[in-house]
Amino acid sequence: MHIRLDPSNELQLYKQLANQLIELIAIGKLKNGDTLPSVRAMATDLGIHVSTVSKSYHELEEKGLIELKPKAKAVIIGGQKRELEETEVEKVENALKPIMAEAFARGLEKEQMTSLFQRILKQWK
Amino acid sequence: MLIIVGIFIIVGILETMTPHLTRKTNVFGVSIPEPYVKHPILKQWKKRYSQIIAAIASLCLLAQIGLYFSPMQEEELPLISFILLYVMLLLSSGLYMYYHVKTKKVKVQEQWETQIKTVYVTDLSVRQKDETLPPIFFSLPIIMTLALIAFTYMNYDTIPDVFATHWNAAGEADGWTEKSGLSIISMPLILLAIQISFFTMSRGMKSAKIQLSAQAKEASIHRELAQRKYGSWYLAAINFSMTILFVVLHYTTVILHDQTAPYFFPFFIVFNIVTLGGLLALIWKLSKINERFDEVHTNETAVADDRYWKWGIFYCNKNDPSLLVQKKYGIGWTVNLANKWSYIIIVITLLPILLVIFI
Repeated sequence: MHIRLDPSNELQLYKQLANQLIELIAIGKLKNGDTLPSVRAMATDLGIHVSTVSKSYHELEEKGLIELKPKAKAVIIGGQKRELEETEVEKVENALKPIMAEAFARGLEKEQMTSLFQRILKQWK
Repeated sequence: MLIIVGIFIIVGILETMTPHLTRKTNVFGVSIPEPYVKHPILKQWKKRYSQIIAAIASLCLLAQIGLYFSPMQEEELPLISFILLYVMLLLSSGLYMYYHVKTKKVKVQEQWETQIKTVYVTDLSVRQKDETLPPIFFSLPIIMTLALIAFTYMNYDTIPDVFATHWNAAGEADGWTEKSGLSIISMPLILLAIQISFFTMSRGMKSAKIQLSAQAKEASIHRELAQRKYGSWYLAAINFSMTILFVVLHYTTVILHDQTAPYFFPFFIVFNIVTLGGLLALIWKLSKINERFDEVHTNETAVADDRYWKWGIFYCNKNDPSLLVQKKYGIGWTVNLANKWSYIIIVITLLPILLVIFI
């Protein structure tokens, strides 16, 4: 479960960390109930600022993927199969739409997009 | 004599081996970007350093053994041994500084840092696999000392009015102290101070940075975990053997009325075997587990911390909340001088030496 943050990447470090954690949940390497290292330990080991790690953890909390409690480790609550609420589906759709629109505008075929979609989905089983 | 010769051999081995025990990405206290860890010049310098130090150490050892066959006065022996050991350490630090500067220079001249890409890396499971000893191993000796203090006060009446507190090399008491509420527990108090600093160090080791490399990932995880585990075992072993030594010293002096020498010396030898033998075992373990960079195929490297180090020896980083960091050169730990607790640790570590000198 390697984490690798690239400071030369245009994405901010906290965003990269959050994305990689989300992906680990999606793949199933981080399961429901697993704990994340403490903010301090994570920041020390990576060699980045504590506030950067804290920011990513809070983002994951907002997305409902982890649970943060004071004086305790962050617990993964995402990843399990459950009935999604209507608003959550809508959120995903809203986030996905501009990306797909951009791809379409750039000239990607619909078939290409579908196969791309399936290829990514396959990684997460 | 055996102990002194043992110290010479072990210090010699340690000084000779040190460049090879350090992480591959740290050469003479300078961070080496991962794509350059196999640079032939570094290998050559490390080898030459070891050869020179091994030669110096052997000479000092021979001189030390020669001393025992010389018609030297017995009082002068410890001083000359001390000077020899000091010269050995001085020469190896001098040689270290020489190569430290050289390594730094070649890194700048060949522009290693401009041709690499720095990344931040870690592994989520590495903290769970960490086997640094839990705090109980370091709080237990503290409880033992507190019990000893209580036991001493319970036997206050049987303690003589004057008891020995200093001995010469032959084990005869040559310094005495008057009995008082404080003087009878001065020995356990020193012990307590050392144990508390050990406890703090063990906590510091646990929260210290686990430095992984960007390319030899698995190997660096393996190395870090082993170093932390065996490092804390060694610390605990010293702590326990020192506690026993102090307890025996205190008990035989204060409770048993000056019967120190016959009990103390066997334990003193055990203590030396544990500290020196343990160090040897640690060196042997660490030399086996050092990471190997078999697969260097990108220009990526884990972030370096050179700017927080002075001469590769002193670490001062305000952004790092940890108290301890792994040494940049050599095995073991050093304090983060930006953390105010580090000064307390330094004072407590020096306390026994200061007390021995001034009391």
